[in-house]
Amino acid sequence: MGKYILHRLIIAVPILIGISILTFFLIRLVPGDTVTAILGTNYDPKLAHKLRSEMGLDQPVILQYLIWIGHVFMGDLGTSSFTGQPVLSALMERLPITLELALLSLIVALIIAIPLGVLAAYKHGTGADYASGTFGMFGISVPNFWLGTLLILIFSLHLHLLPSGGYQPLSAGIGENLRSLLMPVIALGTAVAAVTMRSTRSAMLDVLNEDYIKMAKAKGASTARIIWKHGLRNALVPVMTVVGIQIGYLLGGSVIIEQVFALPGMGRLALQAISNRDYSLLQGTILFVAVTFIMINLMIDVIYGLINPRIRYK
Amino acid sequence: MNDDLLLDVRHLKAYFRSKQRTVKAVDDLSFTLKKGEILGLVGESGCGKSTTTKALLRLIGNQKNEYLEGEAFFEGEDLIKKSDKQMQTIRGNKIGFIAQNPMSSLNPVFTIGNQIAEVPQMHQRASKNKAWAIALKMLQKVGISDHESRAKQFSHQFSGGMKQRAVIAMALAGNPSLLIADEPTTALDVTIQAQILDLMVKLRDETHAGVLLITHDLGVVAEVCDRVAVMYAGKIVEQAPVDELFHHPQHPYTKGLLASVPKIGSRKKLIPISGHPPNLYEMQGGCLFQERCPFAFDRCKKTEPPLHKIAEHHHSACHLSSERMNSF
Ligand SMILES: Nc1ncnc2c1ncn2[C@@H]1O[C@H](COP(=O)(O)OP(=O)(O)O)[C@@H](O)[C@H]1O
Ligand code: SF4
Ligand SMILES: [Mg+2]
Repeated sequence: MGKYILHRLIIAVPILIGISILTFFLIRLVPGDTVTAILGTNYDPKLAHKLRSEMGLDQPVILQYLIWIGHVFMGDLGTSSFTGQPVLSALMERLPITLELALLSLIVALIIAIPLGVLAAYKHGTGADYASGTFGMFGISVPNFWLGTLLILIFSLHLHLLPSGGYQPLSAGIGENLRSLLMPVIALGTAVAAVTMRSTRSAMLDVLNEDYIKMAKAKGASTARIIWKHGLRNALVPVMTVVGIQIGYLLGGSVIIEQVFALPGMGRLALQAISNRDYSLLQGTILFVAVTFIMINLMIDVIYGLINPRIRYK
Repeated sequence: MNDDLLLDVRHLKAYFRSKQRTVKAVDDLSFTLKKGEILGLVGESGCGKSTTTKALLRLIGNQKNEYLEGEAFFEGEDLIKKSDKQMQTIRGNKIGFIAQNPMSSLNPVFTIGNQIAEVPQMHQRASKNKAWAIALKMLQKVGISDHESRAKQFSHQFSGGMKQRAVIAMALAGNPSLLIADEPTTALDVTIQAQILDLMVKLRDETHAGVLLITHDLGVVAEVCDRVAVMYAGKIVEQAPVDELFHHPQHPYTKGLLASVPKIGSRKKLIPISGHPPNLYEMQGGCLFQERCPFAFDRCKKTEPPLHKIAEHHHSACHLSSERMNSF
């Protein structure tokens, strides 16, 4: 397995280089550049020219890229051209927030969705099944920003129960911290829960018809044991694949949710970087998110292998 | 009551109901099984053999569309009256079940040892270590070589014959007094079939468990069974000790079955029974076999022949055999 992980990490390098090239050139296709953003209404062609040559923006783009990626390989992500802060330290400030949001959303979604999916399969065709099916439809079709806005309307503006936005770090106490993330987690996690629930239900329906389930019953296993041990463990195999795909959604969705709830995470950082044409910050952020994405997927693959003994790492 | 009597099934009925019709898969089945005896239940595919095993294990009868009636006394207690909770303590413990398809009967995500150890864990509240030791012993007993490392493997690492051995080990892990095997060798190739049958006979000799062996293969019956019940369209039509049945078949259906079995070294052409079994949902009156029976006569259309005693331990449900008896 160690070999497999190493192999996956090596494959990740060209993928990351590809992503870095795309980001690098795409952001430069957006009209305006760092200098126009910095100068804003005080734009002066002479000053602009001076700034551009200081930042190296007058060099050929390919050369700019090679210089930047060279630095990245040495562990230097550069500094924000807008604030002057080192990109890495900006990322390190924001990363925990996004990670907490995404992981909490994932965990809460799984804790709710998997038992619901199992129950829906076990009681398929009954009211409980239809109720969870309706929730599934709702969760999949409702956009997360709309759900987030609705939650703010109800719980902040009307009921005054929860803060409408902003992030409370763990240092403010775990209660405050969770309170600030409750609505974002619901807004972001609902779709994940819905998709996971549906796939758990269908996987479980298939599994419950398998001969080994009948065999477990013939062995004298109780219904609970048949479902939660013999059934679920098998159903989790396809469910894990679906969960892996959801990770991408979670990271992408957090960009929007951070915006809705004014959470200073990576997504918000990336949006700021785009509107400021803060090239090095944006490049660093995207690269970082890509690395995170690849690492989480690798983790999912490893878990997948633990659940499914038929997988052999080659 | 006979001390040797292990299973006494009386008038067992198992029907599947749907909106349009009722399939009488098992209809008024009665038979007995003694300790240490191997009873073969034979019949064409679809005649209700598997349904009989499922009814005895009470794997059917809990759904709205499944109807179960009759009695099945096992060690003196009626299985049909038991609740599902009570059945959980009997299945796998007092009654071992060997499934038809070993390829799909093992759970792919647990080790073979784990699945066997689960039986003593559930039924004897054995500790993990104790249960594992039992699993190893069972694997050894069913002839799996290198059983200590095999126990840690998964079903996809086992061959077909080994899987069936593992299933047998699982069925025997609770030390049952009754073993129900539903076509345990059908999915295997011929040499493996013979090995598995030998193993079952050997285990019967060791444990003195009663065995209900379901098969559609008369060759299997001849090889291992003590007694045979021939099933047709949900009913038993003939019942006799193996030698008696093979040498003096009484029921026309049994005769037909025997005529369609290839004999080693024989060049005689096989004569398959013509026609098909009746639909189990729109049965007309009279003998169920009348459409296919070369000897059918008036009475066969009007009244259904009951299972009639024609000799000590030999029963047949045919008007001809009962008439012959009456004419003596
Ligand atoms: N769950 C079920 N629902 C409806 N009909 C069934 C069901 N199980 C079996 N049957 C029907 O009952 C009859 C007997 O089936 P089965 O007991 O499997 O036969 P065998 O094992 O002898 O081949 C068949 O006609 C089959 O279609
Ligand atoms: S009762 Fe009649 S139809 Fe039925 S098996 Fe006997 S002879 Fe044939
Ligand atoms: Mg069958």
